[in-house]
Amino acid sequence: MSGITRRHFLTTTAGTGLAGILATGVPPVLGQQREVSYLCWNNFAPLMDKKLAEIGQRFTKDTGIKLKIDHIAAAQQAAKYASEVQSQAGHDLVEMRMHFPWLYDSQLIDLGDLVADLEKKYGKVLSSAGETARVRGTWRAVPQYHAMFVATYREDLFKKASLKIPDTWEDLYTAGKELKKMGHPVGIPISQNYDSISTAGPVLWSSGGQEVDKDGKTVRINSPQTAQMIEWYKKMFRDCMEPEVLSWDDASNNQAIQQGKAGWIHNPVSAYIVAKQMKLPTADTINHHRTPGGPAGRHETDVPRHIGIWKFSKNAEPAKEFIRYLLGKRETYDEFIMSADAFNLPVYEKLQDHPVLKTDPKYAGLKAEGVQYHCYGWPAPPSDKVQLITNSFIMPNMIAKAVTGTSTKDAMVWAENEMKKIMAG
Amino acid sequence: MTRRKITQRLAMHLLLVPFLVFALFPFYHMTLTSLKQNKELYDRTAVPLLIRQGPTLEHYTKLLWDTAFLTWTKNSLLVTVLSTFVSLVIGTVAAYALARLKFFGVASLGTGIFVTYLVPTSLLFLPLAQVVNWLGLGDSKWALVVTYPTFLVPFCTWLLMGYFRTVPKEVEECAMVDGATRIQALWRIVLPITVPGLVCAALFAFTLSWNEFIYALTFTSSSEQITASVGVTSELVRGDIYYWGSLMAGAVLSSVPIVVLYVFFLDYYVSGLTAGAIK
Repeated sequence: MSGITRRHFLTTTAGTGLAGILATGVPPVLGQQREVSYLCWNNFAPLMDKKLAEIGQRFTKDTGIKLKIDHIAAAQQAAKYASEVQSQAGHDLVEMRMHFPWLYDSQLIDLGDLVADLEKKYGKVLSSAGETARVRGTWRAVPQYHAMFVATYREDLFKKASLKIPDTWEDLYTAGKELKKMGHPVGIPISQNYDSISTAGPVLWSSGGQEVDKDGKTVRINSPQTAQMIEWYKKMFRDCMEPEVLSWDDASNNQAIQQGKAGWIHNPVSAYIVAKQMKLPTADTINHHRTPGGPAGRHETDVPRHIGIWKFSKNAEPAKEFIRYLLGKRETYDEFIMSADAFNLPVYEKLQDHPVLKTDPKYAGLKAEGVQYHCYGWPAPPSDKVQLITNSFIMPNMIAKAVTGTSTKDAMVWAENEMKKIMAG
Repeated sequence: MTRRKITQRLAMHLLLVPFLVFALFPFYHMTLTSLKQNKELYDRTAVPLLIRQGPTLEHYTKLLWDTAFLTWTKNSLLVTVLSTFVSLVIGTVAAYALARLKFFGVASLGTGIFVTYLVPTSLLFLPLAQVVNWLGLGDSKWALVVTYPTFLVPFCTWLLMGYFRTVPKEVEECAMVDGATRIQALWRIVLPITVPGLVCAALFAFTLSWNEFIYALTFTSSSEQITASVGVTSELVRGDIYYWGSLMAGAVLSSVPIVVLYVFFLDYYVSGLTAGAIK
């Protein structure tokens, strides 16, 4: 034993350990700072992104877990997520819009425990968020907030012409005729964009129609209810709108009301919020009311947004900790929601009468009472095929054909064939 | 100058006017929009092609100070310059070999390189994502320096092959008779003659890299790593909200490096582009 002294042993082991750390560049587990990364969409409400960063810093301070937040435009999420899944590397947490959890089902971990905790505190998750975040009974993502399509109208014009606030789509036709005569037509896009689907859906649902049956397989677009919806669009296009709606993109209806041209549009509250932020003269004249209904009730297109954790993440626990930190504490969640200025609202039942709705009298119309929220494709359960039907813009194309001369029957047959082709795979 | 000649010149210039308007209109409209106040941008009674309510620099201020535009531009420049340089070096050697040397399969190899260029990036980004991850370059601008040559090298090779064929073989043969090696002949004789072709390939490669979007989007994420093409669209288009003024300010500023390059090297570019056509 004479060869090894205590000093020699300590020097050798410390030297070897240090050399190992330097060679690999990886500190020992105890010395490593835990870190999670979050790929988040570029929020339509930019102040919510700033608030998220602020909460993230507090999270790091309180827990010692470093949080890296990256942002991406909504339209680019699909490509980015595909590359992360393909390479099985990237962020730990991902923001998921609408049906995304269904599309990435096999790549996301079960977050049922987190949702159960949140439901205990805030009440049940809204149906639209539940239908999209819970995949075949498993919560693949945690619902965080939602934005819905409501009616945005020029209150001054309605008052001037003594028009009734539309309660049904037929009421809108009556008001729309007057608005067009006043030089302020209704602005509903009939083109290849998502706002077109977001309005066509509620009109179809409130007539009792559907694209695909709730069995998720049978195409139901060729029906008397769809015919009724198309006839409504035809008269709206003829008497209440202008042909430019056939070439609109998602931003066009916002701009039409912000510029003072349109008298009524169907959109989330972003049109008003931006007009207010940019101090546009129209901001004072805009107000909101709920989406009109029809014989089969009042339905609204909803855009719930969730947070998921990739299965390939090596930091699932700290990632869960961040979700708990952001959504699990009432004061933090409130702070987060308040920063969006009513663009994004809570997705839990007990929080529906949220204080953010009292920050501006023009948000009074957003209170969710008796509303049925649905995502694209309802009542069919989300699937890749139903999603493809949405992304192929079959419904707006069908309406565009009908309002530009194709017979209602032929337009429906065309849409039916297109949808059947997709369902056949 | 005779009256007839003056009339001819005038007519020639007049004929160019429509082309000039066509080429400059996007820049005019971009610049104008970037200088308009929001209230004028959203005023439907405003004249789209004029500023009537006074210009503003607020969109430039927002772009430069409220976003990381300068970092994105720096990243774009770094990635573009490096990938262009690397691609040009590899492309020159490859093109020379394919144009001058005789070996088995030289023609089909040339065609193969061209076909590689035709494979769209939208198909390649998924397998390349795996390569980038394997290289440990995820969320790094260096991933772009590595991947951009995948489409730039075939392009430069194909373009330069045509140009090398326009250089008479005798020129380098003379040099080799005088004792130069093939490399020396390439370096001292052929390359100085092919400068217009090289400039043309460099300009094209620079433009392709500068405008590239899908690789930049998928291989980088953080604000410190992304390029201007991704940064501007991510930050200033938020769903149905377009920050038109700042978007156009970004477009104007991003087009400056390209405009400067083309202005300085236009003559080389034109002769390089057309050289292969008259062979």
